[in-house]
Amino acid sequence: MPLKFKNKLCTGCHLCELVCSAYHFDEFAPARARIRVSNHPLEGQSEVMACFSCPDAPCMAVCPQDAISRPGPRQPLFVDPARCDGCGGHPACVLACPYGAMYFDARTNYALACDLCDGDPQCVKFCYPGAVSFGDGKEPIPTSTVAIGE
Amino acid sequence: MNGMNCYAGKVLWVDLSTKTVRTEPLNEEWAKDFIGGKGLGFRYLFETLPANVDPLSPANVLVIFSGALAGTCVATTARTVVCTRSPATGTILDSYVGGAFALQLKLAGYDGLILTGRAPRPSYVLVLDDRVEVRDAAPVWGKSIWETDAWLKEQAGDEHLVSLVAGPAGENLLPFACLTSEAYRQAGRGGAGAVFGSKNLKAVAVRGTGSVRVPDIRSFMAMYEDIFHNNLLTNVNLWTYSDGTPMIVDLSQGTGLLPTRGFSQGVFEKAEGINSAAIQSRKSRNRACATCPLACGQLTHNADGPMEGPDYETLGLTGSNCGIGDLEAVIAFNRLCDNLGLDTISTGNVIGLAMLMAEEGIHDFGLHFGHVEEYLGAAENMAYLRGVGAELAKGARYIAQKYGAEHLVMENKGLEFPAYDPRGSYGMALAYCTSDRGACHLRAWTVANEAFANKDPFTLEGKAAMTIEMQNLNAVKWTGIFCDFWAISIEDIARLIASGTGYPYTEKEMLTIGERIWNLGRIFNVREGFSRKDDYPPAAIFDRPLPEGAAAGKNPTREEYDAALSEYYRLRGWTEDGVPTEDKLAALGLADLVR
Repeated sequence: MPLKFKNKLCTGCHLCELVCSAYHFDEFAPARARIRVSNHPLEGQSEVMACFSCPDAPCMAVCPQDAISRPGPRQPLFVDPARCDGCGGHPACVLACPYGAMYFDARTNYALACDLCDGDPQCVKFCYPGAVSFGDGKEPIPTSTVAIGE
Repeated sequence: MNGMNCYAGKVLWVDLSTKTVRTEPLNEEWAKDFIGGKGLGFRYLFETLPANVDPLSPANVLVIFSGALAGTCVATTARTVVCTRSPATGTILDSYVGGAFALQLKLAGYDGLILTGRAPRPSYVLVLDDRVEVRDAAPVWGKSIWETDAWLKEQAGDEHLVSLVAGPAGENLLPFACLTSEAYRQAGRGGAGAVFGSKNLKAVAVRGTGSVRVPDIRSFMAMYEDIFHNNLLTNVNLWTYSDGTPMIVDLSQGTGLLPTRGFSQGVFEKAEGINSAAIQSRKSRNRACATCPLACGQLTHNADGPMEGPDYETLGLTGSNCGIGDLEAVIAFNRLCDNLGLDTISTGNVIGLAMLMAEEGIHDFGLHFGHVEEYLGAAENMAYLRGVGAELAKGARYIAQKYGAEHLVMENKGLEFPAYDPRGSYGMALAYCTSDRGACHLRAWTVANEAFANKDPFTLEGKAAMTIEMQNLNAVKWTGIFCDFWAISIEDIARLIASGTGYPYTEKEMLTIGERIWNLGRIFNVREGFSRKDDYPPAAIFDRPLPEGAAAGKNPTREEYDAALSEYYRLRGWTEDGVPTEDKLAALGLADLVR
C-alpha cells in the first residue's frame, strides 16, 4: 500500500524529511530523505512527494544496473544497494521519474526510493495535517490522546 | 565538539569591510553555560561589541544564531535569533524569526554567523555549505523584499535557498525596520533591518546539505515521539492550528485592553471585522515554520493575492489602533509592511499616535482614524522617507517629543507598545518596562495569567515574581529556540536539550541558565547607561484611564508601580537602581564580565 499525498494540506514544515532521514541514516539530513517538500512561501503553496510505486515505474526500465525491482503489486520499489552505482552521479532513475519522486544520496552514491519504513512510515506518523497518509482510506492523522485542560 | 551532538561546532565570521570570511570552533564552555539561541547570541555579542557603539555605525555587530536543537526534528526549533545593539532603543536586542533559516544554517555546518564592519557597497552574504561569499547586491538595492528573495534564489539557482532580507525601510535606516524571511516571517522588533542597512547589507542567504546528529538518535526519537503526541499535539497548543493568534482579538476586546485609536480606547466597535472569525472566513490553509506541526500561519487573501496572516499584533496595532475595521485594508497594509520591511507593531503605533494627535489638535500629519487611503500611503511614505513619512519614520517617541504628545505616546526605551494595553492587565506594564529590549510582550506575557485568566488584572501585587518567573523561563526556552506558542514544560526542555547536546542538564540548572542569560542582558544595558529611570511606563498609563470596556476607569498609580519595580529588583538580586549586585553575578558565573 503506497503513500498518498494531499498537497493542499502540506504546511511546508519539512518534518517528514527530518524523520525520514533519522530513520534511515540515524541523522537529520533532509538531503538524504526519501520524501521531499517544495515550498513557495509567497504563494503559500507546498508540494510533498515520495515514490508511491507507480504502475509504470519507468525508473525500473531505465536502470542500467537492473537495480530496481518491485516485490509485488503496490509494494514499495526496492533499490538494491549491491547493484546501484549511482550512474556516476547522474542517476538515470531520478531523471526518468515523471513525479520527481526518486532521490539520490550523494553520500552513499545510491538512489533513494520510499521503502515505507518497514511498514510504519515515519512521515505519516509525524504529519499532523495529514498531507501524507498511508493505508486504506482510514484517517492516519495522529491526534492528541491526552487532553490537558486549561 | 565531538561531532556527535546537535551542535555544528562552528561559528562563521564575516567581516563585511574586508570581505574576509573565517570559521572558529564554537566556544564549548559558553555552549554549556548558555546553550544556544538567545544565550549564545548574547554571550557572543557581549564579547564582541564594545560599550557605547552607535548602533548604526560599522562598529556594531550582528550575531545571528541558531538554537541548540536547530536541525533536529523537534518542533519550532528551526527559529533564528538576530542579536545586535538596537537602533530603536540602544539596548541589547534579540529578535526572532521563524521559518527555516536556522535549519539551513545548521545543515550548512554553522551554529552561528557573526557579521562585523560595513560593506563598501551594497552586498549580500551567500552561504552554500562551506562556500561563503560576500556578493554584489546592487541589482536589488532599493528593491522590495519579495523581489529580492526571488532574485537571490534565481542567482543561486536553488529554490530551497532561505534568506533574511532587509527592505527599503532597512536601507533607509528606520529604527523599526525588520528582517523578513520566507515572505511573511519577520525578525520584527528593534530595528535589525536598519543595522543591515547601515552595513550596506541587503540579505544573508543560506543553504545547507549536511546533517545534524544527536548522541543516541533511537532514544532521542522515542522520547520525542512521546512528547510530540502527548505534550505537543494537545488542546493547550492546537489553538495555533485551528485559529492562530487572531483568536486573541476577542479576548482583548472582552477584557477591554485591545489597543484602539492610538491607545485612547480599549474596545473597538468594529472588532468583528478583524477578529478570528473574520480571518477564518478568508482562510484557505495552514502554513508552518520548519519542523512545526502547530502551523499557526493562517493563509488568507485579499484582492491583491494570498497572505500569511495577519497575526494578532498586526490586527490590533494596524487595525483597531488605527481605527481600521476592514480586513481587506489590514491585509493590504500587512503586505506592504512585510514587503517594505516595516515592523507592523511599531508602524501601527506610530500611525495610531499620529492619528490621535490630529484628533486632539496637536499636529496634523494628514492621517486620520479609519481613513484607509491615507493609512495605506503612510507605509510607503515611511519606508522611503517621503513627505511626512520622513518624520514618522523616526518613531513614536520622536514625534511625541517634537510635537508635545508625550502624554499620549505608548513606548518604553523607545520601543512602541505591543497590543496589550497594560491598563487592562497591570502586570504588562512591569513586563514591558523590565524587558531587556524595551516594550515587548514576549519576555513575560503576564496577561495570560491576569486579564485572560480573569484573575486580578488591576493590581501589581505579585506581578514582580510572575514577571521574573516568565522572563527566566522564556530565556531558557529561546536557547532551543522553542516558540512561545508551544507551552512546553521546563522538564521537557531540559530532557530534549540534554538528549540533543549530551550535557546532562536538570530542570534546576535550566532555570539558573535562564536567570544567567537575563542578567547578562541587564549588564549589557547597564553598560549602555540604562537604570531604574528607564524602567517606567509612559505617563498615559498612570494618568489617562480608558473610557469604556472591562478596564474602564482603571490605572495603576505611580506609587504602586514604584513599589512593584523595587520588589522586582529585590527579587532579582539587583540594587534599588536596577543594577545586578556582585553577589548575584558571582552566583551566576558572570562576575568576570563586569570587571
